[in-house]
Amino acid sequence: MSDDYLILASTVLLFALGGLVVALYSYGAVWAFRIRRALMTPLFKERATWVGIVAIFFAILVASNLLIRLFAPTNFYLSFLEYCITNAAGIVTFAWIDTTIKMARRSDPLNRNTLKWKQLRYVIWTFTFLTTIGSLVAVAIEKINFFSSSTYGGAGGAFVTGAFGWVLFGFIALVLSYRRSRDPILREHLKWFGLFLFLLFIVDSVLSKEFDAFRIAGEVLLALDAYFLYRGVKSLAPFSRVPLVEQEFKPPD
Amino acid sequence: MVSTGLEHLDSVLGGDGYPERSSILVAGPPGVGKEALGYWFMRSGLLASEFCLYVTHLAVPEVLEDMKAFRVPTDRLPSWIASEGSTLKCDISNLTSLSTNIKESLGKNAGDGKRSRVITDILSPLLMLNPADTIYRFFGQLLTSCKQNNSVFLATIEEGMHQPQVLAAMEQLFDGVLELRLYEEGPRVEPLFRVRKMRGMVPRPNYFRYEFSKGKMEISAYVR
Repeated sequence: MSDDYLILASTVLLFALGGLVVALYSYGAVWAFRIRRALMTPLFKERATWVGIVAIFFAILVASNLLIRLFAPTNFYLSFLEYCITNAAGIVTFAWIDTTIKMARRSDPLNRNTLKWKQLRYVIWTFTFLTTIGSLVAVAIEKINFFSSSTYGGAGGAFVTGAFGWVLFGFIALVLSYRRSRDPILREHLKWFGLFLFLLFIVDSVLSKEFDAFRIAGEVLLALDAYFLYRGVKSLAPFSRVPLVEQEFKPPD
Repeated sequence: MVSTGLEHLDSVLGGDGYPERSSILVAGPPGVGKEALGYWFMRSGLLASEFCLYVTHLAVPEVLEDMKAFRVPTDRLPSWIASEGSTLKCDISNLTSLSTNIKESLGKNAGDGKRSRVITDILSPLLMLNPADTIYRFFGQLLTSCKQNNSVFLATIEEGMHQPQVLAAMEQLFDGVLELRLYEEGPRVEPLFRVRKMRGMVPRPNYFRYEFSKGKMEISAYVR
């Protein structure tokens, strides 16, 4: 009886924490699109768009992970869907990295082409798609369950196969670009986003364990991770306080 | 007066645009569209058959890509001093060569007192690589020379990348300063701009909401 009570309590706690994480990621996405609307330069808009999409994907990822793991962990099709979402999250994260490297280049006073990124990005994008499709096909043919396989589940899977493998490569180029950029606003954004990616990697290792205690700890860390993403979003552009001046202006007819 | 190339902005500036033989600084954080003011100013000059010189630390294709994104037509192009894709190279680590290239280009192409326009984004990169007082002197001389050539000079500077006192010192060099910023108002983010100073214009502390759409800058009153 007490075991049942503990299972119920931990499930409720997991759901509450999961809900909080999803809400935080979603809030980050809302702010990303608000900022996108206010920004004028296309490259900056593009970056805000990708950050917003990253936030949306992680909200979906956390929600689906929680629900499928609890209600249908043995269903292959749902597991495959989860695997697709994970890879899509990897691709959009890579898209964000790609845009940010382009921006970092512009804020480098010497406009250097770090790691020949202008050319290399086409190669990496091609490999990203090929490896993603390849891993999806392999999972589909082998009928590997995302939630129970030690090869493809959790950190051992999503982070080293498919899109996330290239995210790690892009991360190296990003660090080099960070060092060359002299833009403190971009550096602030990269600091928070770097924390987001680093903690995500740690959390994924924890979440891949089957014990509830680890999963609850993982959800708590994910909430912190969602906060890092939110701070990354808010550092997309610096804001000033609203001025207290009002006036009339009639544009020409 | 020299048209900004944007009807609403001309209107805010009193109807005709920037003063003759003036230097204009467009200040604001990255991403707010400062460079678009330069593109439209250049476009207006090209349509009026004036000599336009674009000095950039970027490559020419990058600037063209940006212009297209702002829907600025690229059927007429200026003379370039750029890091890539131009005959004259923009080497921001060599101030002497940079100054010579700009002055010679203006001397050759904008002679006989004909009006010309110079647009540049190199101020922030220069300040990142050199001491502020060196750049202050460099720009002081360059602006004087451009005015002697009957040029209107428009430069952009990134706020948040330099010390406030450096920014304030640079503003002193220019005849006009336009400020573009993002303001947080509750759950909204508002892009606002104001004319911080303009030669021959009564100072106005007013803020305006702005937006770039359909190939123009739309300005409206900002009421909190």
